[in-house]
Amino acid sequence: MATIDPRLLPLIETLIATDADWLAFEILDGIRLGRVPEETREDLESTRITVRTTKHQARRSEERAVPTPVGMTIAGDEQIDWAATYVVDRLSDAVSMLRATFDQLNQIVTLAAHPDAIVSDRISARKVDLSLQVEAEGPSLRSSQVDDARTAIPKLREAISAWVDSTRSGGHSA
Amino acid sequence: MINNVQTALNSILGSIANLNNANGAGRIFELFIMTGVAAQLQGQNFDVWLQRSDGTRILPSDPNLTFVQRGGAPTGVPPASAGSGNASVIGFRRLPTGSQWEIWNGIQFEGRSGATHEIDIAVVPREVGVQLRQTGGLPFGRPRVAIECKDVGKAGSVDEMRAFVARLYDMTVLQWHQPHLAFPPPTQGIYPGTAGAGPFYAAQGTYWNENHHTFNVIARRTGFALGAAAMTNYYAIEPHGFITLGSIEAAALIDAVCQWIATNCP
Repeated sequence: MATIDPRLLPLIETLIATDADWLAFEILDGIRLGRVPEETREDLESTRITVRTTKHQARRSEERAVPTPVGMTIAGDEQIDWAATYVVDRLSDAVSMLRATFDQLNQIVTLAAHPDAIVSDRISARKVDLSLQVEAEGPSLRSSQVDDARTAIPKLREAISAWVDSTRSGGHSA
Repeated sequence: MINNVQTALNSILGSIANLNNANGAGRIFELFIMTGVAAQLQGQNFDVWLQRSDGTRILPSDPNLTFVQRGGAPTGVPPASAGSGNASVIGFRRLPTGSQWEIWNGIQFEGRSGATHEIDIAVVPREVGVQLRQTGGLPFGRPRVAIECKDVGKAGSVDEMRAFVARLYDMTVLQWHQPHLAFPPPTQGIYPGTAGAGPFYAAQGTYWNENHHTFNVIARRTGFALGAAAMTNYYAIEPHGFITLGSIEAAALIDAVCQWIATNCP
């Protein structure tokens, strides 16, 4: 059974203190589940190709649906490394996808005004900067705020790396 | 050491309040895929536009350039009379005179059982949206494209696949369901509206045919546990894992959705 390494607690407490409880939950859940054997990227691609071509083939039985395999425990220093990497990758992915979303939204609204123009003319059309709002929640978000967050990602990576080094070597975490 | 981590976290989460919410990252993931599909369609001879919840287009010259993403408890399509503050959608039409479509995010569909099912990203005939915006309500039937987005750390399980299959099953309208429907013939795959006049929109005769007449995806930021890809063939659900910005898999997902739309949507 998975156990939480006590050295992880400062990171968990820090996530809670910064209103990222959801990230703390995800880390604890990930440690509880351990490393689960996964379908390879090649197998997933092969499966997708099969799905697309099934309509041209005779119907056939599916492979047996098996329960999710038991995960391998993540323990000790590996648990510290895993959690640190998880935090950085999770936030980095979210921020970069949000920035790309703004770019895509701005492209759509810019080019939508000139659907019948040739592509080069559409691209040279005036650039716009949309804001994004979640329905019934708080203020709008602008792309400049996402850029501010992006600049903080390398700082987070550096700070967490230093914390990992300190924690693994038995130093004080605070 | 940990104080520097807290400072950096405050900078990130202070800039993007969405990430203080447990659903925030998941919503970003959905919007990333939704806008990715739309942006690519725009480069493939489709007219694509952003549309407010009152049905008006967002134009570059508008004073209010806000795209509203669905939040709160999942609901159906709000009436246009409720104003433009509800969730926006993305519209598209094949140039020069193709039929019009809408890409929805987080709309609840009504199944044959009467249960409601939230579909993270759905592509439906625009007429369905036009009809629903008159009074507000839930679409009945199955979207032509349904994408279940999973922005969670753990690998996808076979139960996740089962849950999606069950939703699609309940939302499927077949020809022989007609006696039990509240809508007059011809039987359509999705209601309301009369988009079913064309053969593409007509209800199919079997579940297998409807599964393969629509495009269905589970899109995950992470991977799938070993064995989770079971049932994909029969139910025609494409498993797409490792969807992150710039990944080969993200490009493959967007390509697959756009190619299906370009090939199949009239």
